[in-house]
Amino acid sequence: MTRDFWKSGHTPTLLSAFLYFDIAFMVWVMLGPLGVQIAATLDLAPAQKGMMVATPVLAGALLRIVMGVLVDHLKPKLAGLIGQLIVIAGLAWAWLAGIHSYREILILGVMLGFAGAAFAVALPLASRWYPPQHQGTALGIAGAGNSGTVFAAVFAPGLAVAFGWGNVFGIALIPVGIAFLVYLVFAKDAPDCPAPKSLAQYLGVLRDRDAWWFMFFYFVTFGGFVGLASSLTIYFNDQYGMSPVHAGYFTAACVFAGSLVRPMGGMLADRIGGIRTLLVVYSLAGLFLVIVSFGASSAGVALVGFMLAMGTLGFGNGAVFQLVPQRFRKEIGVMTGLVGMAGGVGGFYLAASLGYLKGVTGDYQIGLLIFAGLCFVALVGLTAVKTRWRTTWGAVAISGARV
Amino acid sequence: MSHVLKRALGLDTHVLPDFGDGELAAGDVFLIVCDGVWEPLGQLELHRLLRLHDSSQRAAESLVEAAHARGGQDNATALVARVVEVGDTDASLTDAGTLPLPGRLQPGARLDDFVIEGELHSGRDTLIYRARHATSGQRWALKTLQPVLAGDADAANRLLAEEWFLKRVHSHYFPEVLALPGRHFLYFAVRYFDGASLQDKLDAGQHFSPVEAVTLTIRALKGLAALHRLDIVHRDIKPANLHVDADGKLRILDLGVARCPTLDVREDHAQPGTPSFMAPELFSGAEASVQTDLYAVGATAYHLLTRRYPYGEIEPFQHPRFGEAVPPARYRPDIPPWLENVLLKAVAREPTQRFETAEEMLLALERGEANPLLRRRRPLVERSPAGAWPLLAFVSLSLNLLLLFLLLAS
Repeated sequence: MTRDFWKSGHTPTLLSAFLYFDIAFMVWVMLGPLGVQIAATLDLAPAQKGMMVATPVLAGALLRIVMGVLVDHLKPKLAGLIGQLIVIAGLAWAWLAGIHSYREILILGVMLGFAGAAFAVALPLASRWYPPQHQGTALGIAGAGNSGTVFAAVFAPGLAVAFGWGNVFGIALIPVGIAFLVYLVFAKDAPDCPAPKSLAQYLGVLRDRDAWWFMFFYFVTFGGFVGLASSLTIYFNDQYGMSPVHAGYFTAACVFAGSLVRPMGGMLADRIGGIRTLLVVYSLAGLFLVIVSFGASSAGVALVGFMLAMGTLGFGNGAVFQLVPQRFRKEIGVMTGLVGMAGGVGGFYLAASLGYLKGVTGDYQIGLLIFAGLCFVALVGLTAVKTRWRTTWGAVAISGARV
Repeated sequence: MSHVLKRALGLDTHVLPDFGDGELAAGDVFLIVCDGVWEPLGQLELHRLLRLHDSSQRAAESLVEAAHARGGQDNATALVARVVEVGDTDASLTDAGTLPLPGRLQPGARLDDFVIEGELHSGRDTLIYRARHATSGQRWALKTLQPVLAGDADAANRLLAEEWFLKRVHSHYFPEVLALPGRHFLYFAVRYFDGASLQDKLDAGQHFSPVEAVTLTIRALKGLAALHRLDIVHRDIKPANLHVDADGKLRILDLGVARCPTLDVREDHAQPGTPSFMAPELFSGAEASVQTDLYAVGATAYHLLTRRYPYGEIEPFQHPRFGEAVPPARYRPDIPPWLENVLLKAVAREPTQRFETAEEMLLALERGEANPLLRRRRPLVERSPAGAWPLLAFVSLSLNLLLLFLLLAS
């Protein structure tokens, strides 16, 4: 981050985008840490608990595409304002009118999905200001908002114990409102904006087999990360009878481990190669998930196991996003949207399946084992990609040749 | 001062040639004479004698006779080259970019003068068919683009540039290109040969002895030398692009990413090539050059013998750090030391440490044992400066702590 990076773009936009993204992620996974208390009040079955925390993730994944289209056709700032207003409305409704049924919490989950779609708004808003050589750094700073999930896990359960979980939605309006005002005042659209992407372009990218495999890879790594981030509070509370506050701290520790190592995953992929990194990631993540699925004797051991699993998955997130922009250089906007959506769908799958299978079998083991199985499937896909990639790369554009 | 030599080879430290540029026309005459001819005859007489004789041989002989007749005491040599006919310009090359792609063709389909026999290769960008010429019955390989690249002007230009390069290089180490003046689709034809590429042979499990590997490398270098003399860099030398036909002749294929540095403007894209065979400086953004091609040849020979890469397999999109090349004798003890030195020099990390030209490497391989290269063992400080000083500091610190402990203990 040299001086000329700071001079080359628009720093207020970058910082307000980062703040927006951070707070949005915090609100997006909010239902996870609060899950224990909400489930107690609404008397939810395990499958319903899983669905409750999974709904914002799925809504966020699908809305990412919608918001991406909106960003293309409207200006990014306006799209972001719309998204934030919907989230504010949802939180205000939940706080003032109160949530009294399972159906209402699902509706709130869908509205919180707009916060999860902030990815598709904040990143283009910030990165369009910066020239190609600084894109990576700009995206890294704006995208560091992944850490918002830690705040949710740390603060939400404690506030729920003190003020009641219904009022936490109101309390959440404070940071959301501040981020909204900062965004309104300081964020500005970049002067030039690229042409909107058509549906045909989205479908065109899908013809490439690599695109599908990368969507699957991110389905596993980011899906694992977000799915576990949403489900761990309920898990720790269920398996070890921890209080929601302590379960929240444990979840925050795991999520922190996962978000911290993301840039390291990118750097390692750069150094030793993305496919090699992902081979290690999926092997280890699968192994840790299998170990954890057998249920540790104490919460401390489970914490270590989940931290290791989330850490490896976070590593994998960084490695996948080191490969995607380089492999799909021409259609990068479309691919980041599709891959991000796949990640969200993975998170939905994991959270929902854990809850559902807990309800059916009475244990979390099967759900975690199936996900570990998906890690091993990803290994197979990686070897196929590796073989396909043993070929000539790159293109020569002969412009101005006197032939 | 009119009889003093002002320019000669060896007079200056550098050779400064003069050069000119122009368009050839039929009837142009080029004359090279030594001073034993032009001095006694003079300009007017030279022109007169050249115009007098139609046959170049007669003109050269008459120039030399006239020089001797005028009393020249010096050696007299004359070389006359007369341009009989100029080939038709490749204007078709620029129009050809607008031709449509043939698309996916089934065996038995007809493409201009060719009958498709089958598909040879379907890569990411290109599609190669095996075809038979309808009239002559010869078998040709037709190279075209994948249907998904229809309308991509860059890809079309690349294909035409490849055809143009193959037309320029007249060497039996490259496949022949057929002139196709009246083609209706975007493709070009190279002569098809039965046989297999070196990668196919490796995949089939063939074991290459050092002698075989040296022979193949020498042939590849001869072909590459011809290419480099035309100032064309191949950029994608690897076993898969070296084809050995049924008679054992080696040919270099796939000039798909070849480049002529003096013709093309520098592009900002990432360097093309196959990562494991790309020289270290290419990863830091340097331009492909003769040295990078020679690195690729060295890495190919290394791979043929050991089935490994000198610095390990490199993935696409990786920015590897290059340490020390692994000596090939570690994998194949039957490699003679002189060959090991040649291979290690060919894949040296610094481009200045490698062979300068293909001919130099060729010579080193042909001489072999008789005139072996010497390999200097580089000290640790030079090999990894980052590693030497911390090691020294650590040793020194440990020693100091030990002394301190002894001092305090006593």
